[in-house]
Amino acid sequence: MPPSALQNTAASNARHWRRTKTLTFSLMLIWVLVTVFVIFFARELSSFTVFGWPLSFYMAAQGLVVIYLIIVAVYTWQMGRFDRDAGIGKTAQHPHSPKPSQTTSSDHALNNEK
Amino acid sequence: MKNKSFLSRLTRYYSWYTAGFIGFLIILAILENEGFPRSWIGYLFMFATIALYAGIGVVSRTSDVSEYYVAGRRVPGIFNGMATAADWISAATFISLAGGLYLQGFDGLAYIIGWTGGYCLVALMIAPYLRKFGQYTIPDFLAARYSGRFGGKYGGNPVRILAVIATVLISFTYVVAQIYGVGLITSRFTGVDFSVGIFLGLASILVCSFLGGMRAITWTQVAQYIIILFAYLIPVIWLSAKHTHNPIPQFAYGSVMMQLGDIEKTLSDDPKELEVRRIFKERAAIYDKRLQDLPQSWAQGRMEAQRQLKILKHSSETSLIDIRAANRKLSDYPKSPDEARQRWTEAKALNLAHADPPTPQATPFPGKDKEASDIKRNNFLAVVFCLMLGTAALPHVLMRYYTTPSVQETRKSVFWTLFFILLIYLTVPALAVLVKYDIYTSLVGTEYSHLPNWVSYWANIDKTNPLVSIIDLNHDGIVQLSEITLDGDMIVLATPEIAGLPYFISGLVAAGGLAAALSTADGLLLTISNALSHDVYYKMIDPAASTQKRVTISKLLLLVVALLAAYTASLKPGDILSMVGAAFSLAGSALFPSLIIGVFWKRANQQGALAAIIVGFGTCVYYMLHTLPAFGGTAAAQWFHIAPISAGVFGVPAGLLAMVLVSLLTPPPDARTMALVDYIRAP
Repeated sequence: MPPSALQNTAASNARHWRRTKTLTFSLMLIWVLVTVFVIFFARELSSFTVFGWPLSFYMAAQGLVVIYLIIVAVYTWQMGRFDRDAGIGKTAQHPHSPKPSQTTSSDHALNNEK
Repeated sequence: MKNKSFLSRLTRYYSWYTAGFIGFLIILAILENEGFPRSWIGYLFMFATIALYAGIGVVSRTSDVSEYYVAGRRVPGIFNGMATAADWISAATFISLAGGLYLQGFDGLAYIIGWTGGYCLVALMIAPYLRKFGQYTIPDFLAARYSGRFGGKYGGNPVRILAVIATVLISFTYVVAQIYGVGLITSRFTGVDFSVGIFLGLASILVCSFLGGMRAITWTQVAQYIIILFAYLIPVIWLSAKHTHNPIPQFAYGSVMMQLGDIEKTLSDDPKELEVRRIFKERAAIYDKRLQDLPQSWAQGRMEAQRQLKILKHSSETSLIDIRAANRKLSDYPKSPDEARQRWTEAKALNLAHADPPTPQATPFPGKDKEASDIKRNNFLAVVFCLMLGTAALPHVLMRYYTTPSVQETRKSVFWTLFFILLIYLTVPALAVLVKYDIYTSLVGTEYSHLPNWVSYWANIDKTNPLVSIIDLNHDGIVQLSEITLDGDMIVLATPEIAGLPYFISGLVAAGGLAAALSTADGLLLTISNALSHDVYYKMIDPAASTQKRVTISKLLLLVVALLAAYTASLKPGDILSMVGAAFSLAGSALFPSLIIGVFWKRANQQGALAAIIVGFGTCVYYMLHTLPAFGGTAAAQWFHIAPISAGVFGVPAGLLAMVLVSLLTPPPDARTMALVDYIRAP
């Protein structure tokens, strides 16, 4: 691969990692805030009701759990998009295939694969 | 596409399997209708399912390293999700979770939040990076990430050793709890002795994981998940249709909860209930007086018991039964004033608990005053914290994400795992509320002469610690709520009988509980034996070992670990939920900091990781030893009133802090490690 392609891969990887970090930390922030809010204010929330449940019981038994699933779904979907932008999925059926810029590390990870 | 056809073939196999299982259920339903004996239905369920798991094990036998350790890395995301869900849903979830919700009300929901929320961490911060790294075990990852500057090829071994120790300790605590659950179920439903039951279950675990390692376990766990799902949902759907005329319990139980709230209110100031509660209060007061008069009260009590026995023996009218009862009372009497203090304190607390009005199902953190309620809230948060971080650090779950074909598939797989877990977890609160409603409306207020059959059946299983006891304390011949004592572990297993469902449903629930315990035990045993054979034997003792030899060593170790775990479980070391809880706190404290920081902070180095594992683990164990009465600690030693089960609340931050401080005080990691981090972060 010519040096310019190498630089492109490095730049694209850096961009991918930046976007991954932003996505990960925003979703984790939502995860923490929602969980702590529901538990910390459970007593105050129990005076409201949804579909017959006291709100705090509903959120703790079902609401939070469904929110967790949505967080994971959004992450999976977005990361799929980032990966496509970075060129994964078109050619790479083998995510192990060593990239020129990381020979040492991929050796490291591959030395036990058959 | 090879993967596509593999996926569709798998889908076809498991559809046939599901259809076959439904057919099996229908046949048993017909047999029961025709008057087939009940005990045979129990046997059929037990042995048919165990034979099935063993069969899958035999079909999937392998000695190939990659097949044995990571199922050949070709498990499609959705099937890996199902297998991980079965791996995850342990005896604690299946048998104890709904019971905990029944007994503790809102506070029990901490387990539901903790055991699902942790998957956000797994999905976003750990699983994809582990898969990208692409080796076999968790110690592998930690050793490569925290390899040292010195020592060349074996630079990661100090971290590897600590990670192996943590993995083995955590998984062993956990697997003992599972095997305990296996013994409980097999002994109850087939009538064999508890220890025989343990070894029966063990045989089936071994056939599966011994022959085929991760490959056999994966395909067995998918089969087990389907049984778990049926076993959990059918009784709840039935109950829901019975009480609400809506067969979807997740939507229907809200209305039942409202009615339950009204019943709780009436029962809390019902005069008969107050009378029973007063009796409990008086009993507690008697114990209190005895505790204050120790040690004289202990000597007096013993003399009194001896005197009673003497009188009975000399009187001509007493029956043998009375004498036997008096004899037992004397032999049960505390052997020393110290033992008396411990047992009477427990008895006092138990009676006081019965003297309280029923715990409201929906009220968060009920307590006498704001302070008591705040303590409950803090403990709720602490339990959630430990379970979430423990989830994200449990080696047997993380290991499963090595088995998918790609990083993208791993992400999808975590989503499917959480989805399949939710199908069960969203039903757990519904089950607890519906069973509670059934008991509050149909059992409370019946006459003692008309008690349902299940009461005597479950009361007779274990005579010394009965799972159910209903005693007419105020002698009015009517069952009061306060007179009922239920053990949390029997609620799910007894649900079909409580609700009056046919017996084959009971057999199905038992088979489901067994599947839950076996699937988790399988995954854990494999994790332990892989850590020992791959990380200790292959990576540290004999790096030249042939692949054949590595797999053989792994199989041998599996056998040894399994027998050791079964032996420990046969000693009945404690209840399932507390053992499992301890495993989560330990996992979070020991492994979570180094796993997370390893991906997100390049500057972290070997010294930091060593410090994190030692400090985190040490803090957690120290706190448990100092606060658990079983280990000679006292509740008074608690920090901020946090219960010992949540020791991870202190262990995890201590580990994180140690990681950051020590890493910053020592030189940064070498270029090779930096490159590895870049590699696992790259798409």
